Amino acid sequence: MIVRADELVKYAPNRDAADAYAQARAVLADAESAAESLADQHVAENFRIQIRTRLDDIAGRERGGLL
Amino acid sequence: MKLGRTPDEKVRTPPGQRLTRGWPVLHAETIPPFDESTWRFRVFGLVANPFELSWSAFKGLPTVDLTSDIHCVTGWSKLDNRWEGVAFTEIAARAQPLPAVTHVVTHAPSGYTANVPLDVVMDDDVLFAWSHDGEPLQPKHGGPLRLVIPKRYFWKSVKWADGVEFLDHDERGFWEVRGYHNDAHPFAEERFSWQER
Repeated sequence: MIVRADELVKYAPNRDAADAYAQARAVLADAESAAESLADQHVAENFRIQIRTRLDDIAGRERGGLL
Repeated sequence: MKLGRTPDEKVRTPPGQRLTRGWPVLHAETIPPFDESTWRFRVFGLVANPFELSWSAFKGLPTVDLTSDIHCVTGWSKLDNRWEGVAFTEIAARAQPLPAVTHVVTHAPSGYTANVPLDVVMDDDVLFAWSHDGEPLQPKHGGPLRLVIPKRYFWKSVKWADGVEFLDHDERGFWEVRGYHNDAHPFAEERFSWQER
């Protein structure tokens, strides 16, 4: 799901970027829910960090930053 | 478009990749503006001769014309891309990396970076390219200047490159800290960092 979110962001230049970011956010929300159900909390926390980083990246892009 | 593969194409296409004749546009950054009069390329870090180049000075360096294949981690490959630009070795020869240098990080104006070991970029197929298939490199593909490292997944080939830093240690780049493989060999399918364990 995280890779899918990355692809949505990377392909955003070819389409409506706001739509792509919204879809990426939705996929990341699903990924976060899936992480909650993991038995290994260390792995789950790593996923949560990766998800938060991507949500921050998307927010930065929407604020008009280069990244 | 799905293409049948010739024997040569089969050998040159890494596992898990599909061939395309188009050139998909993928990037996580906003395309930075390019002003020829203010653009600078910075070479810094552990080098005997740090320097900056204007666009005209960069274009005045000795050029190379190389043909190589692209392999994107998202699963597409594009063969026989003709690039024109400046060999990485040309930049390194001017900068004179100190003996302690082990890695190189290439920078873009957005803050995007990608890291590789020094020996990878000192390969004779690595260049900073401003032209693709005889045309100026389009901004959406990294123009005016991008790094090209054919033997690694294409995210290592930094678009809109404006600097290169020589380091005595490894420092993961933008995608490398986001769970993608540090080495990124396409033929070993090194896509994700969990494979590094």
